[in-house]
Amino acid sequence: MSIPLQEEPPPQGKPSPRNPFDQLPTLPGRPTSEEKVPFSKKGALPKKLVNHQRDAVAGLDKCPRCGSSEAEYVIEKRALVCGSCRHENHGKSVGERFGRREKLRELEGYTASVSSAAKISSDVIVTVKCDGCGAEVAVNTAVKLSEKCHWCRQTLSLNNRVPNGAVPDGILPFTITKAEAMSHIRGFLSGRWFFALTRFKREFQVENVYPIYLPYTVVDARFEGELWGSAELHKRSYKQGKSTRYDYDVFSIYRHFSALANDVPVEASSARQVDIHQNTNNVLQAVQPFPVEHALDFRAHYLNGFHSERRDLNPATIHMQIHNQLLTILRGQGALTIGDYEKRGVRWNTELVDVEGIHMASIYLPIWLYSFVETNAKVKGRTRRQDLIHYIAVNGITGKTMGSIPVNRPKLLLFSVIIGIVVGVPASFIALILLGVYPWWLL
Amino acid sequence: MSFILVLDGFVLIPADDGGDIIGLLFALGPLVAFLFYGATYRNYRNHDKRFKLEESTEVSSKVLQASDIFMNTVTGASHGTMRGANHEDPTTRVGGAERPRPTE
Repeated sequence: MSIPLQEEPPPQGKPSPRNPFDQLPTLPGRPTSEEKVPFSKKGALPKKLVNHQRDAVAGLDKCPRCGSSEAEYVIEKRALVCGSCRHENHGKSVGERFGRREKLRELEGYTASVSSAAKISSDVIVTVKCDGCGAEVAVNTAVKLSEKCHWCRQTLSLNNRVPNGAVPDGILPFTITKAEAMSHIRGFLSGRWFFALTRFKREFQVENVYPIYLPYTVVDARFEGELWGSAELHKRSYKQGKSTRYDYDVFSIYRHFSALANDVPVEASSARQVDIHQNTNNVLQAVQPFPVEHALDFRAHYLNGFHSERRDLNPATIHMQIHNQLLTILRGQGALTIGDYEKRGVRWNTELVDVEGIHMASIYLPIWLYSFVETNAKVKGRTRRQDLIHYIAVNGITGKTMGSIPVNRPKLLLFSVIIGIVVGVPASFIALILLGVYPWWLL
Repeated sequence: MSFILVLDGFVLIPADDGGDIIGLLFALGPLVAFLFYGATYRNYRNHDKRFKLEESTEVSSKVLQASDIFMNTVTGASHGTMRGANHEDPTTRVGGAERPRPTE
């Protein structure tokens, strides 16, 4: 798909006497006037505020038929069902309001949502900090007065209340039921049971899978990107003695792209950042993608009976994560243009993304989560052993499953050695015969 | 391969023309054990799994400019692939790029 090129740089925002951000109360989830929008080398991008939650009153929605404020999301019906009259509300698609797909080419400047200026009402949802792992978990106290952390399964204390997170622009409600999620997890474990840690197998109860909503910022961007690097073009290979030799040409290469990226997901919770040496959060990412175009207007009732992670990173503070994601996309585009260099390879040494327009929306995405804490785990880069939380995650829409299973290392090592001996002894026997040595001592 | 260390017998054996095959036979046991351990551990822990953003994201792009400048020819190299090639690892950031500046 071609993109109309922009000859002039995007218009710079004139400094207004009163920044629109200043007119909003200070709450999590929105950029403040002190925060910069450092996406463009041409200068700060002009800011725009949009409201994707025009008529939403977070946490105090009432049934349009009977006026009751009791409702909960029923996965089988894929609707919010009123607790009094059983009226089913299927929600409004937030995608139509975003209009992102159609307007992607026209994206200019930095567009964020003002809906996030409102906090989720504490009448329905309470956010508490877990003593075990420090996660900030939103739970519905109207349903249960005690609850466990879905990350580490520590019992949560209501004494550790923290302010609720900001209202997201949209939510993608679950379509995978608990029974289906349990089936996916059993299937995932079927080939990963024998070498699993003994305590994991002893304590495993698939019923303890939790439905949670994770906060993401979904980004649409119009940007230009540049890549510089070295490339080697294979010419020929030949035998010289016993070794193979290669002739090749060296090139200095440069690529300049104009690109549109749609629905780039970025983690909006600092606790869920991925570090494969320190945590298993990568499995949460590995169950993506989500069909975010089907997201609905957020209503706090969607969280009834479900857990959610508090969004503590707002769009302005995750700019480096977004920048990284766009660079990854740029490198992916670069890889499509290397042609015959692929045989030997390309070494990119400089990469640059220059955003011309960006739109961000915060969305809650659904995951079924099973967790297990491995105590005294050996963690790479750490001299002392520490607790490591393993997750099995199921995409709440597609059912894609991924997980990290704690391994019984001594058992695996023992079986590896046995297999090595079973294969190695006959192989060594044959090798000795080929050498003319009769290995009578092996018999 | 001039010498082969047989791990389960601790014997050093000089290799001849068929040394590659014989060496492989001697190394087969430890090699299979090592690969079995690594593959099984990876299958359980899945620490290498990630969301392939660059493949899954809906992106439309256009090359505005591209240049390939010939530098030199290398002959008789021993490596079949480029050293330090990173075209298959888009998530590792490379240095030297001018980062966007936080400006007003």
